[in-house]
Amino acid sequence: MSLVYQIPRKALWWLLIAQAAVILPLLQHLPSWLILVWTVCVAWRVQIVRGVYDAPKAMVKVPLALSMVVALIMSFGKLFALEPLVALLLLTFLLKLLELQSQRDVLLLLLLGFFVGSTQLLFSTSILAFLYAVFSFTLLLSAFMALHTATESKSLWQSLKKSSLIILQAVPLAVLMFFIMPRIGSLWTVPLSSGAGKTGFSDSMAPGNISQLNKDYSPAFRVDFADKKSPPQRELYWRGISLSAFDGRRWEISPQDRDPRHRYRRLRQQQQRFTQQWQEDFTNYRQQQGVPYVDYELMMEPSFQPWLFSMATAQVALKDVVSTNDYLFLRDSPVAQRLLYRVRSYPQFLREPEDLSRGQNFVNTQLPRGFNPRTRELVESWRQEGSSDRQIIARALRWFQGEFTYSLQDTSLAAENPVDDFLFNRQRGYCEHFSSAFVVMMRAADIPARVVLGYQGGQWNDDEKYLLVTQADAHAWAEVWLPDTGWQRVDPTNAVAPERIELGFREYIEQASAASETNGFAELRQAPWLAQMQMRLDALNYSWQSWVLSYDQEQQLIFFQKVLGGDEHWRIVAALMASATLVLAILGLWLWWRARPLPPPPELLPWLQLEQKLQRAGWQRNPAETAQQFAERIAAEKPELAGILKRYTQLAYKLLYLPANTEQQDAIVQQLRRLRNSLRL
Amino acid sequence: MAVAEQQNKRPLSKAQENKLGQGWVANFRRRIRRWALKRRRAQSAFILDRNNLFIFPTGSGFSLLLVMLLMWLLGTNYDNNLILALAFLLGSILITCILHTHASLAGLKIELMQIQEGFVGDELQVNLRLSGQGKRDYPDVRLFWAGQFPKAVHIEEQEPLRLSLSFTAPRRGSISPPLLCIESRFPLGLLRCWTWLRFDGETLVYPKPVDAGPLPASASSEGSGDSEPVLLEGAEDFSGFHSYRDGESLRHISWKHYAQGKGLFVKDFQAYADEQLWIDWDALPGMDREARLQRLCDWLLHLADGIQPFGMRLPGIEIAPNIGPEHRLHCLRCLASFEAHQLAAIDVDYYLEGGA
Repeated sequence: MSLVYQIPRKALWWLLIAQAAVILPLLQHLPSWLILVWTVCVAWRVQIVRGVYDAPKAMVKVPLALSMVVALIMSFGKLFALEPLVALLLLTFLLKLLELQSQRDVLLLLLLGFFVGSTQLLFSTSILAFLYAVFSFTLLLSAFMALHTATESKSLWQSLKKSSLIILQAVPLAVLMFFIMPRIGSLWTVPLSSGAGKTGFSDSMAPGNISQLNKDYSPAFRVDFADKKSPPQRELYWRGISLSAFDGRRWEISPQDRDPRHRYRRLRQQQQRFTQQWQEDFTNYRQQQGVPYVDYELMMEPSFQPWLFSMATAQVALKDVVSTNDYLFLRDSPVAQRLLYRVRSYPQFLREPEDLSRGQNFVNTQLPRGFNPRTRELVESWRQEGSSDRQIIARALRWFQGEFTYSLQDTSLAAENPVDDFLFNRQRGYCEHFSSAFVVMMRAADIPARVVLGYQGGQWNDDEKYLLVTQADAHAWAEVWLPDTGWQRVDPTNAVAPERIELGFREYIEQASAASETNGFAELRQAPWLAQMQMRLDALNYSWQSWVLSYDQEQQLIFFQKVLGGDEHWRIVAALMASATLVLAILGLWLWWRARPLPPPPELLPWLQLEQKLQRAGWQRNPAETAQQFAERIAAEKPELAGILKRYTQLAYKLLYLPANTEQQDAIVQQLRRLRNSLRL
Repeated sequence: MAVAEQQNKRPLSKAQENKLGQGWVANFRRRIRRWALKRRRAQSAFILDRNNLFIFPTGSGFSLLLVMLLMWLLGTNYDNNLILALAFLLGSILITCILHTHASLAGLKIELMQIQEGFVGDELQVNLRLSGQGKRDYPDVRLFWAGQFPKAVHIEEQEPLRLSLSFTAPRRGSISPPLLCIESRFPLGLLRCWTWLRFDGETLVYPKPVDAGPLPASASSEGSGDSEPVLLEGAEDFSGFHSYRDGESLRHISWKHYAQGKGLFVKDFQAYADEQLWIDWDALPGMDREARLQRLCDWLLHLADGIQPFGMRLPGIEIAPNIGPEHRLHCLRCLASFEAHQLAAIDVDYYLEGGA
């Protein structure tokens, strides 16, 4: 005889609800046809439960599963990336619904649910996503409870209530474990999200790149200054990469440096062998007394690029990072997770003031032949008029200031000679146009110059005292090399629209769009209340990130040293044990308190006292015996007690049926006490 | 109690039907139960607390631990603190459940009220009373004899629950019920909290009746040598009425009285017992003790249905002829406990794995 396993109905409902909760946040990252698969699986399961359909046979199941996997590979084009693997897991989770033949299958499905439910955090690490994951865990636990409770629970909500309670009680210990359990780094490399690189800027600059970013208010990084004060906006130039190669249209990293991994290895090897001149200069400068510097911690959102951001001229404390000869920082792998690093910037340090190496000089003055002839002509004519380097720079900036306008409207430049087109026809544009044109002009005058990409400004959050830099703050400016002062920042945008630099991008947009509706600023403007709410939310996010998301080995070490006074194993184990014991003891006490024996009702007390007295003398009432039977049994053995026991039993019975708190009751209780005392055993 | 003490002195013998099965896991579990059997003191009432409760993760619990480990790997490899936090949350839930599962049995009081008597092979009812403690209920308590299917009950707050569980009587004589397992997996089924209870209550099991044919004629006349006739109730001559007592035959009820609404009365008959019925040990020569007792039991049941008084003779015991439910019970008990000290002890595995 084979019994067909029936899932408890409540467990099935909870299972379906929990599954829906687990799947929902993942669907936005995965192919939409999975929704269809899910619907079909749920419908089929419901029909099986109603007895309409049979459970699918192996002949149906196997081809179904295989075709799904093939469909998955076709949708993604590959299998070994994060999304396809998560999708595969999800698919298993869905198809298992068709195969629930024993309690074990249901259990497996639920356990899979915990795992699938946690994968959504690979795509989003916001507070909401986390709370949602905890919520879906609560639903899964409810299903667990419904599955394992043999007696009928009163209602569907009973198990939800209980599972929420268990989760709440589990939180303190989980928090302890989170902070104290030792962290070890990644054990092996894992496939990363293929959605990488959709935000942040790329390693080249063509007209239009940055204006795309300016519509994006998502955070790029946050800066926590050591003195909790932000330097003035005009000094907040966050350097990311410098672009030296120009093909007439597009700015790029010089060809030999274009592969970041290769470049990282090369630099690392070079710097291991001997200290470069520029590094030595910087070290010597840092060792001088009284040089001004700014200390800050920078928390970077995933950029999926290997560059770090810093203000000139910076020293970054982070392993797996090398500094490049343009005083920038390159990481050995793209920043795929939030990254926190400490920086000390020396704003007054002069970069390579003595001499520029021949290679550097060549790279930073080269211009493609034949492009942008009018620009060359103009600058050469300035040169012929006897202008010095500094005068040429000043002249160019004055020209920008006088004739050009700053605009976010899409300016498509001629494909042939875009710089000529910009400088002589359009004369309106955006930071990338200005910086590109400016550097071309400098190079035409043989002044070494390069484009620097990064962010400018940021928003100061006064509640939490940090600076938020969003993608909208992306900026491009120029650096020129002059003898004696070395590399210097020149921002042509500043000449055209100084407010943009003084106020920061967001403020500037506010004011500019209020002044005029034609600049294309209006669409970028946000309602003030919305902006304020966003700031509040970001402050919350920031705390979340600095406390939870970026808590890594290094932070843990600091935590151990601060709280435990060291990071030896015994301290960690002892701290974990002690705090866990405390937490569990509190919980245990609460459970005990709930189950503590209640005092017996007062009307039963005299009888219980007699029973105690008899027990001491060796008489134990059998559970099945009534008081009277018990008394009679003793009386049979000890006839001399018969009278007292009979009287006592009668009175004790009488007491039970008297109204509470009356004088009569008290009298009987007194009487019983006297009787009890006169009992000699 | 006495039976159980004999167990411990005798070498343990193999059960014929092995509920736990073979293999090292089964052997290990058997060993643990033997240990538990020795360790448990037989009592008639138990209060469950940390002195007698065991707790261990179930398969689900271990699977959850595995999932937690996988999540930890995922979180570690992706440097994802939130997934790590969820993994720790799962671990913490498992630990929290230890307290909850323990609390789902702790404080429960189990009292043995009564064990039914019966014949060998009968299902004997054991009446238990379960009462909780404090202001809380006990939602998922499962009770079962070793090796049998559990019965799940929900004990409400402040409401003692009476329930009866039956077990199969293994042999004649005085016996105790097998080990009773009380377990709970509440709330999540991740852990199992359980205990084994050994009740000290005993009950009598009568021999199983085996058809022995009609009572031999010799048995009825024997012993009537002393000519003094005995006055007995239940003979042919009507002598009066008495009110109906439970268990009396319906044959002599005075239906006339009943129809008049006066209640149930039974007609009494008196007769000189010139013919006495005896259930006699010696009437079954050449059989072993148990076989004889089984047949004597069969005669007893037949005679007890009738109206003729009967007596019983066993070696060293003679029960005077009589009739009525009390007499019947007296005789049955006599058969049940006859030479009880010579009975083979119950196999220890009966206590460990339930009745065969």
